[in-house]
Amino acid sequence: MSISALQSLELIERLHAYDSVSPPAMAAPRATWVGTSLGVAGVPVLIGGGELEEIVETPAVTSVPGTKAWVLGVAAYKGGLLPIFSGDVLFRKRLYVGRARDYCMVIRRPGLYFGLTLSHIQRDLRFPIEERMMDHPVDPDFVGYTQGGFMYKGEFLAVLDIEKLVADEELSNASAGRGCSNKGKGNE
Amino acid sequence: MSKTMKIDVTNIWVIGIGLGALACVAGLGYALFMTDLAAGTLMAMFGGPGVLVVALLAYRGQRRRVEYTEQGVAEINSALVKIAEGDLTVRVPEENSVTRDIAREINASTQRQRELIRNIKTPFKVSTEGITKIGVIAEGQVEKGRELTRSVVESTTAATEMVRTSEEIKKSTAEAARTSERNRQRVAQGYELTKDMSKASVDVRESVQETSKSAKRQGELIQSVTAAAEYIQALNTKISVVAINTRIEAEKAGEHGRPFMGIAEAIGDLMREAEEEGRKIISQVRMLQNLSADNLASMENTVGTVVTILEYIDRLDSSLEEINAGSSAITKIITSVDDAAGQSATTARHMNSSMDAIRERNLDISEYSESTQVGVGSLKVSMRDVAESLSQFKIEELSEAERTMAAIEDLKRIQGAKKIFREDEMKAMEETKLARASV
Repeated sequence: MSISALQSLELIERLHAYDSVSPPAMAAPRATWVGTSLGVAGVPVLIGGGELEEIVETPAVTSVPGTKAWVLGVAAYKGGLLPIFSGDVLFRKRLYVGRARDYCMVIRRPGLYFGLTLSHIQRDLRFPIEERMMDHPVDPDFVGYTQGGFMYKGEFLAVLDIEKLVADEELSNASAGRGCSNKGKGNE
Repeated sequence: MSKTMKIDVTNIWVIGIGLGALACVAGLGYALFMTDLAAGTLMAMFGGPGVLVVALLAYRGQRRRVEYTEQGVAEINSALVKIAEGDLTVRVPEENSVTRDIAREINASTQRQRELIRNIKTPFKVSTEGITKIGVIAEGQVEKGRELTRSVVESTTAATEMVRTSEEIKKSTAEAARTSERNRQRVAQGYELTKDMSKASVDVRESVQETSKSAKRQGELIQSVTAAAEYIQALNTKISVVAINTRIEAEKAGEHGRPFMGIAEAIGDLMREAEEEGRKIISQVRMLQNLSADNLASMENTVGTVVTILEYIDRLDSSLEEINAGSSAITKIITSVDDAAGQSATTARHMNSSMDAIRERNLDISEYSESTQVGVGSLKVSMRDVAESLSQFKIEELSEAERTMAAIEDLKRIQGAKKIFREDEMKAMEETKLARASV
């Protein structure tokens, strides 16, 4: 008569209990930082957990005249309208000519709801909180929007602070206004 | 005239004696006719002295005659003594009536002797000059013979050297012929090799073209694999996005979404591995694609190179043909040079033997010339002795100018003697002769 695997495990547990072998001590849970590894304008960055609404494929957009260059247009999204911003133009402050950005991340904040194009998407990552490096140099175009970062496989991943980004006056006003040019619109 | 005068002087005494005797007879007759003296007395008075006078006169005349004769004999003796000494120029006086005939005969005899000696001396002089010339010619002949001997020796040496050189040329040409033949064989082998290379290159070109087709097909397959890998990568990205969104939604769901969060993390872990592998696959496929493209380009280059090699092989083939033709021509030339060298060696040997014969004949001629020279020298000595002997016969009176000319000739002979060399000059000449002899 054969026994099942669960019965074998139970038998092993009983034998261990009989032999008074104490179970291995559980290590104390470590505080970890969880985020998503993404790429904005070719720069690998980390977005902290809970700061992203969603990652979607870049929808077809309708350009809006009189807006700044980084405003690609407005897309229909879940029954509403979603402004789509170009991460390349927003951060690099110059015209982007290159491969179409297939994905964008949706950010929702009080009074602000938009999608920002991504250059690439990695995955969710988990880092020990003590490994966060606050003084590592980052890309000059991202200096004002990051808050430290982590080393991952020999590469520094800066943490993109969405709060700093949405607090930027440049982002809060998409109108081109006087003297502003809407050159570069429609590239994506 | 002188003969007439001599006859008159001889008869003077006879005429005087006759006249004295007639005067005595006449005085005696006149005394007998005019006086009375006895005839005896008269005879005694006149006849005695007359006879005495006549006798004295006769004695005196005889004495004078004897003296006259002795004078003629003495003149003849004196002339004969000079003739005995070789002086044929002496002339016996013919005034003496007693010795006139003898003197005439002697003079005629000396005249004939002078003419005879003169007749001997003239051809003798010519003979002497001829012998002297022969001697000079013989001496020159000996010298020429020596020069000829030296030249023949030098020619023999040159001919020997020529034989040696010809033999060396023959050896060299034989070696060159062998080398040329080997080269020709190698060229022929190279020719065959170029044919094989040409065939092999054609095969390589065809094979590379086939491989190139396969590589193109392979590139297309790699392209489709790359597209598939990229599609898989895009799918991975989409799955990653799904996993991220799942985690976000799970976080939004709070406690209820915790299982979804585990699922999302599991998907994320799987996706990490899949993404890494997919990235590796894409990277390797791209590398493979690049390698395939490189291989394709390399094959095209190989085909181009093979075509170039074929062209070079064609050129090499034509060059080898030209080299082969040139080697054959060189072999012919070497053979002709070899034959020419052999003929030259044979000719040089013949020339050498001829030179040896010439040298031997020349040595004989030189010996004969030297013998001739010795004979001519002896003959000259004999002729000189004879000339000296003949010169002892004085046949003509030499004038003052002739004596002067004779003295000048003697001086010329003295000056014409061989040059007296100093010791160093003589040593230098001997060394030169030794050097010539060694050459």
